Amino acid sequence: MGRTQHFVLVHGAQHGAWCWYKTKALLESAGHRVSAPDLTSAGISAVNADDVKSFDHYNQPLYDVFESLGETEKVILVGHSYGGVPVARVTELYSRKIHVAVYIAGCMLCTEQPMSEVWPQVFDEFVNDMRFNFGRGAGTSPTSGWIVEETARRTYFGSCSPKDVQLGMMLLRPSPFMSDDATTFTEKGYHSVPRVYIKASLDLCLKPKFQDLFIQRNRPQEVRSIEAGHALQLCAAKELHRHLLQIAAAHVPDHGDEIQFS
Amino acid sequence: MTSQYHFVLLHGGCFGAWTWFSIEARLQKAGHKVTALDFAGAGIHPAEPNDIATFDEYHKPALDFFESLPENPEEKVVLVGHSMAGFALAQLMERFSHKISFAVFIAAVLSGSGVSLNDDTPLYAIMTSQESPSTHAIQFQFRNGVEKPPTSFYYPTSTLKHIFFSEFDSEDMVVLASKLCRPYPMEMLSTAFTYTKEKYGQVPSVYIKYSNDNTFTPPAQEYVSSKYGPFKEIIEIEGGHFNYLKRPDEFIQLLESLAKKYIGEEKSA
Repeated sequence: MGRTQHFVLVHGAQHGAWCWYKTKALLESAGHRVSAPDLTSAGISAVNADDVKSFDHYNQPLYDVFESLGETEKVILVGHSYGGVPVARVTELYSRKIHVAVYIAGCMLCTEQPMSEVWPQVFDEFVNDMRFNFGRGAGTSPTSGWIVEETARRTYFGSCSPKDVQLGMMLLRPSPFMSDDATTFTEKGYHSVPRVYIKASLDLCLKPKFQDLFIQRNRPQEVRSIEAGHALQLCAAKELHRHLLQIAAAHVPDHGDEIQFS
Repeated sequence: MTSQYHFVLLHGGCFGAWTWFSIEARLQKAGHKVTALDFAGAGIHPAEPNDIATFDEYHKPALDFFESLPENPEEKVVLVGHSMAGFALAQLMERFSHKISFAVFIAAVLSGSGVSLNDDTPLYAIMTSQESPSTHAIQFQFRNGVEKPPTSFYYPTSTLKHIFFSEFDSEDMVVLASKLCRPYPMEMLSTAFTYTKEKYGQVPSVYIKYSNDNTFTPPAQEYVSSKYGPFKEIIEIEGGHFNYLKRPDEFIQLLESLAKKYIGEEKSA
């Protein structure tokens, strides 16, 4: 029987720890430990997106999780959507604490493909559907942004049940714009940790063509696919759960011959 | 012919507008209009709960919403409040009786007119008694220092299931609550406001009691529902504090039938 694993779940832009409620419930019911922080300005964070000072400030709650790990403790790190960017940063910083990094319909960057290059392509499609706050005044670059309601409803929560659409729409917050999210990816750091990409084949937010680009330019160890919309943790929670358990079994040494598929 | 209503949903202490997500989706599917509001410092509202000192501050999002509603009998709303939202129900019914066609109190807390919760001695005693599971679970924050009264209360994650969701099979709501609940401002509980027969008392209302409630216990619900009406009906349901989330279809059927009974067919699809 597999032993208890520690999963660390990282939400995407505008979302918060709340989006993992089904995944966390399933993993905990299966006997695992789950850390799902609100990144700064997300979920019920007391900080306003316009007051996020830096990418490190944004990630601090995630760094705190890694700083609190035991000496020999390693985790299964999971990032959704833009959450792939913090995931890449902590993979580089804490590579020895991570069994495997899982990208769910996420931005899986590499040195040759930084966010500054990806952003214009992926978000070109959303430029007319986004609104911005200019916390530093007119004529400066925006400090936060969000997708307009109708587009958010359709693209973030495509394939979701009406109640999950309702939940998500009530909890989305502006996302901070940070200019310093570039990470240097080293062989000993980022590239020493195996990566798995889980595609959402009906994704209207991060379209499959962009997910494929990430995969092609920065080959992970494994690619899986779920036929559902962007928020797999909401619209395909049980299927995602099975994938996460299988990935844990495959990448945690001495995990045991059996894992629970509950 | 089914009638369509505009429901305004008010969450309980520590929770937020998000709490109503499954109810809101169902009401919308049934053709109703729904507004669910965060009180100040609750849900994703940016205020800091420990800084909130009055009911006016806490209820501000709801007060502003009712101010903005047109003075039009066709646009009256059905006001639904849970648990600590009882205070908001009374305040809104008193100030905006002409904008509310019907009110539903769900296991709701309310002290006497002109009497703060802290001074409503019998109610306060029941709520803080050793018999109430809530008493053993609750924790406090002291923004003004420990020598002064606490400024907020909250329930640690480990207590959420027993206090709020003991009748639920799934852990989903417990996990959501662990990620979204925030401390509840307490300073306002030492303040009072008046509500009168002429205004509050003119809005038809009902009280729904939950018989297995670990949060606001049956004796407390009995006290409020028997003293602080008038209620057209007091409905007893066997369930816990969030039974309306456990049995949402039944809850909505009940809401619709009560609305129809006490408002009549004035609103049509």
